[in-house]
Amino acid sequence: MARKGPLLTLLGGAVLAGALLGANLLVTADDPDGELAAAGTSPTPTAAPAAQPSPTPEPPAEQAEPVTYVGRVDGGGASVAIVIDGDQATGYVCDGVIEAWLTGATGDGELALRGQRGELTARFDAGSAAGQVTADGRSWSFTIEQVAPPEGLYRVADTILGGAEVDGGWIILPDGTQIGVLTVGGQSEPAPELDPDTGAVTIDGAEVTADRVG
Amino acid sequence: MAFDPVPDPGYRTVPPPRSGGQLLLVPLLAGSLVAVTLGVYASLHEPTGLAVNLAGFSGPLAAKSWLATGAAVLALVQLASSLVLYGRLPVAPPAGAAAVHRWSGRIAFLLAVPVAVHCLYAVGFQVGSPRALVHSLLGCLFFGAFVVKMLGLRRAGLPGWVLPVFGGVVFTALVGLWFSSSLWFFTTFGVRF
Repeated sequence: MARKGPLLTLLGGAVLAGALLGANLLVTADDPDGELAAAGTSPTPTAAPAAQPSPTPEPPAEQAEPVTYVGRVDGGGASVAIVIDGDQATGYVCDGVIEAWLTGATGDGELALRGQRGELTARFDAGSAAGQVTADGRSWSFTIEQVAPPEGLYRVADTILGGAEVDGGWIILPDGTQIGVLTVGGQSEPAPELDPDTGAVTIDGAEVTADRVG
Repeated sequence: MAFDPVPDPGYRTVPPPRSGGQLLLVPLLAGSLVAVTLGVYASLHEPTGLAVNLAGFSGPLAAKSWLATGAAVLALVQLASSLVLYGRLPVAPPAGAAAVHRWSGRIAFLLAVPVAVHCLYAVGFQVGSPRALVHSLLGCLFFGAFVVKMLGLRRAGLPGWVLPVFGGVVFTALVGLWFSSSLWFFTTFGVRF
C-alpha cells in the first residue's frame, strides 16, 4: 500500500549523484598527484613588480621595457599570456577553470617556461609569439599578439579581511574580454571582473588591487 | 504514477497501528544518516577544485548558481501548491495541484543534486567564512530533511504536522542555500551565465 513515488524520487537522485561522482572520478583520475587540489597553493613565480604600465608599448622585444603578448589559443579553448622582461619571462594559461603560472628564461627569440601545472615553449619576435602550452595535461598551440595596457596579464596575491588567501590571475584580451581564475582560501572560482584602468577588484567584499605583470 | 487525489497520507484517517514517533523512526534515522554522511564525506574528501559540470555556462559556479535558482523557483511552487493542497489559500485546489506539487519537487531535487555533487567533490565542507559554514550545514540539512519527507510520505498514520514541518525545513534550507550561494555569486560576480 505504501507509495513508490517518493522512493523512486530518492532513487533517481541517488543514481544521478552516483553517475556524476563516477564521471568526476574519471575526469580527475588522471590528475597526477592531486595537483588540482593544490591549485590554491600554487607557488608564486615572479610576483609581479608593481610596474607602472607604460602608456605606449615599446615595440622591440630587446628593449628594457617588458613586452606582453596575449591571445586565445588555437581553437579558442583557453587564453595565454606571455610577459618578457629582459631574459626572464612569465607565462599564464587559463580557460576560466584551470590555470597555470609558468616562468623561465628567454634567449634568441625563443623561450621555455615551466611551472607546477604545465609548461610552455614559444618563438617570439617584436609583434607576436607562437608555440605550445600544456596545463593539467591539456595541450594547445597558439599564436598571440603583442599588446599594450590595459590589455595584458594581471595578478593578485593577497590576504583579505578574515585571513583568506587570495590568488588570482586575469588575461585581458584585445577585445576587452577578461579570462581568469580566482582562488580564495583554496577554493577556485571564476575571477570577478577587474577594473582595467586601476586593477581594482572586489573579492568577498574586500577591494584589492591586481598588478599588471610586466 | 497514478493520480492520487489525497494530498498527503498524513491526512488519512486509517487508525495508526503504531505511534507517530515509531512511524517516524526509520525516516528520521535514514535522513540523519544521509545528512551526516554528506557532511563527513565533504570534510574528509580532498577537494579537487575541479569537477564535471554543465556545458554552456561560463564556469562551474555560474552553472551551479542557475541550477540552484531553478530549484529555488520550484521551491516557491512547492510552497504555493502545498498551501493550496492544505486549503490555506482561498482557492479550491485545482485538479492538478497534487501532481504539480510532486513534479515540481522532483525536478527541484534533481536540479539540486548536481550542485551538491560539485560542492562535495570540488569544494568540500567549508568553515572559512560564515557564508560558507552556513551553506555547508544547510546543504547537509536539506538532503537529510528531504529523505525524511520522502520516506514519511510512505507512512500512513503519521501525525498531520509531520509532512508540513519537514516540507518546511526542506523549503527553508533550500532558500537558505540559494541566499548563501547563488545570491552571493550574482552579487559578487554579476548576473551572468
